[in-house]
Amino acid sequence: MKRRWIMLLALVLVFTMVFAACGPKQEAPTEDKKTEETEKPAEDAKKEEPKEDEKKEDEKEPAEEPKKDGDYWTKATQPDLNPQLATGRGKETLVVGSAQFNGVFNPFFRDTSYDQNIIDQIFDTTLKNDPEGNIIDNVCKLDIVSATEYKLTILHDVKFSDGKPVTGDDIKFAYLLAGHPDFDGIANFDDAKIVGYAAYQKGEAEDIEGIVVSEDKKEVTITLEEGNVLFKFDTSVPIYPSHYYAPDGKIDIAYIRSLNEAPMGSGPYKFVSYTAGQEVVLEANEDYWQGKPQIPNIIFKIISSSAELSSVLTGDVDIMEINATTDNRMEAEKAGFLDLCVYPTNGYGYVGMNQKANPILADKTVRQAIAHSINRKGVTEAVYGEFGNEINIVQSRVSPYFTDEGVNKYEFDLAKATELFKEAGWEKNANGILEKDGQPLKINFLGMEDNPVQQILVPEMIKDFKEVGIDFSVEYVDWATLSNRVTEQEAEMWFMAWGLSINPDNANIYGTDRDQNRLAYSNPALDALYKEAYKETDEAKEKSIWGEIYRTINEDAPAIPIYQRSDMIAANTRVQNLVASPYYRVYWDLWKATIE
Amino acid sequence: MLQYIGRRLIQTIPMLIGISLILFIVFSLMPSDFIDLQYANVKISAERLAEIKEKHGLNDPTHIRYFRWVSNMLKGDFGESSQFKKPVTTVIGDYIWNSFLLAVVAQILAILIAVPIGIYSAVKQYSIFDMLFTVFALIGISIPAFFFGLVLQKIFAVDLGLLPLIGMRTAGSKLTGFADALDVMRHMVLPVVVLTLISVGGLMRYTRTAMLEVIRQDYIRTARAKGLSENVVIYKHAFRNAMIPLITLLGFMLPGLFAGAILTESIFGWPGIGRVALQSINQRDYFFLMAFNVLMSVLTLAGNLLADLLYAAADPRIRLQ
Repeated sequence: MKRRWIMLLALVLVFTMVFAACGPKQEAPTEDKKTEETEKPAEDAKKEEPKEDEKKEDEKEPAEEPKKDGDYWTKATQPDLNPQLATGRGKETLVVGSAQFNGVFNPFFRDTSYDQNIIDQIFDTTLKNDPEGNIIDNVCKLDIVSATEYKLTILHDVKFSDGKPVTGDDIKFAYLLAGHPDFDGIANFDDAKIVGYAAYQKGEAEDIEGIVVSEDKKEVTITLEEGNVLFKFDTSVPIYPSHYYAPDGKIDIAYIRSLNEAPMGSGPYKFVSYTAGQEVVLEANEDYWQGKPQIPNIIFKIISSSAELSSVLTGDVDIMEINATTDNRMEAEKAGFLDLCVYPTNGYGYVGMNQKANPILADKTVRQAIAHSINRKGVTEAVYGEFGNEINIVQSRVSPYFTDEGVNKYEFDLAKATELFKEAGWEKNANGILEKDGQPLKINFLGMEDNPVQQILVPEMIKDFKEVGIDFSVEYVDWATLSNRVTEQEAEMWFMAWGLSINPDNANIYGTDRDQNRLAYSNPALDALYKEAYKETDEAKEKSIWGEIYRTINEDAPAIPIYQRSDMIAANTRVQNLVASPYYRVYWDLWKATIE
Repeated sequence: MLQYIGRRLIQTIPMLIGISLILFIVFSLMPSDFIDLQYANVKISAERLAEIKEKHGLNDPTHIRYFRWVSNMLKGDFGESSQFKKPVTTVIGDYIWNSFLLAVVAQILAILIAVPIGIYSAVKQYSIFDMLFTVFALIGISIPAFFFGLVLQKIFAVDLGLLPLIGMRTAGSKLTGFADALDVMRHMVLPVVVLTLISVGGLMRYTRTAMLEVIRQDYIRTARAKGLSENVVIYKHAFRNAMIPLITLLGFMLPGLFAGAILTESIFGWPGIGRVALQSINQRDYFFLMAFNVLMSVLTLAGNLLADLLYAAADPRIRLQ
């Protein structure tokens, strides 16, 4: 008997270990607020989320968009092959495929962009951006009175889905919620330096002094302690019905969280139900301020990653983001009834280096030599084929802020790398390893084994680094461990991806001692450029300063950008009038879509 | 009998304490935690992050956290899932019955198929029939679930369109009662086929081996010599004794009914607990993981106790002391 107990315990233990040891694929949906970025392992497309600014800027503009034949769409060739499963649903119901929901349908508390896609249907935003990435009016218009004063004015007679009007208090509510002392969601305006925000956050004030709602409740004026023109990106916030989320006028975080599965807002659709692991059902908000949505019912159905393409082929779902691969493209084209949308992902994969974890990397020339030793073009080609481009600056090639003027392209060139190492004082020793003052050039890389990019990138780096004389070792860990060690500045070299937003600001990553600077990188000249950019109200000059910033980062190579991949959306051709771009998620304008 | 059960239940208390302690230590040794992961890509200052961790009690030493967790658990509070932002008991309740539905149907089917075939294979050892099913069992044991699942999906859902591809219900179905049950059943066909095939092979071999051992015993020869019919010999005398190892196996199946089949659920988009459990390791969702593992441990112990009780039912010579 005794022995069996011990066996049992052993079994449970083994079970635990196995359980604790197996790391599945990362789906790190994340995004971040105001700064551009989401760092996650770049793996298959849909697993890394397109990030967007924390504020979902949703909706579209009143101007007529061209039909699904913008630059990014390829039309279906044989619409008559459409499966009965899809056509049989009729014109009343649209089914959108999605990865797993966590059921946190609250803009400031949700962790994943999948939950955000639901939120985008239910909540409206003060401002939004157009498909090119420029901020435009939505419920409100923004006046930049000065670099320290921002005024939001409600333009339309907008009502929440319970019939109550949207007022300035509802707009202010977003700031009061994110700054609340008990708030533990993801949104924050911490570094915007709004007057009185810090005192409110510490619990020393009942209100944020610098956010004033006018008498007629139509205007909200926000005052900053110091000028920052990028604050305009922080004025696009979700509009919460404050009477619903704080019925007695007091913010109670526990109560707000209890409404995660009962969201209410002023967006085009109303929440009907959520079935864990299965689907979310939405119905049109008849009184939506921009007009009644064309399709009365939308269902977001959870589709597992292995069945993304199959689910649109069978007609189970009408719209699905699928991995941008040549195989998927060909199969979708062969089906004949799918419209495909392909656009450059708003983000980039990069090899990061931490100058504190490995002081050898603190030498700019060494980093440049390493940049020349990575076959970025070959790796990108091998992993993404037609759907990836190597990238030289840390900004999307379709961004209004993009520049390639005076940018070092760091061609893959081991001879050039050797030359640069020599310049930095590194010479090969008898074992073929680079050495300086008796010290070998050792670098340890933290990798993830089940990541499709690294499966190609890492072996290639091992081969080329060996040739150039770097003593290169690789250690594989799971995503959570990698992310932790990178954040703690313990990783010497790694591969990850950043997502971008319409906001060009990346000071949080490349600025000296900033929160997300996991490179231990510092360049005072760059810090000065950021300060200059924040103050520049002239748009053309502002863009040229950002160009200078990207050039500086490219020159210093604190991290080496590798590629920009693509996103692909497959939509059943019965659905028309969809709008999507790198800056415009296809979900934002579902209310304008029609079913033929 | 009741006394025996009572005593066995009391014995499980130190076991559970041991298990929970080990689980807790293992999980707390994993690098990173759910707050780190949640804020990994959020612009947030180190001080603010520390404040939030403090709020969640993550800065306390492991033993303090363990005692806090245990004492809350005894009060019925298993904590809040960091991913779903609601009590873990609710999360488990949302998903576990879906997993149970799939597993219980597959397991019953597997038993109904495997046991008769296993017995017959033993009786007709080395016959063509036996060979055939030996091959079949080995295929079942070795076929990868994800591959088999994808093939079934391709054939029956994508190409033939006979069965639903994915999920548990048709999207937005407003069906109720019998029509709804029928819809769920159609969605269950493929995942049940995969799960059944995976478990049927092993069960078949176990049954066959257990029967072979018994059939060679002297008392079987005696029974035949007494002139009993072959059916009585096999099913009454032999099979009752062969059941002992099978009962042990059934006891161990109990936690499996609730654990969720990670791969199969993932491929068929079945809203089960397996995927959630896997995701929570990635997300370091400690409270969910701990509650789920404690539940699994309890079920394992319960399955064990159940097996002991069934021994007595199967074999009157076994007396429970």
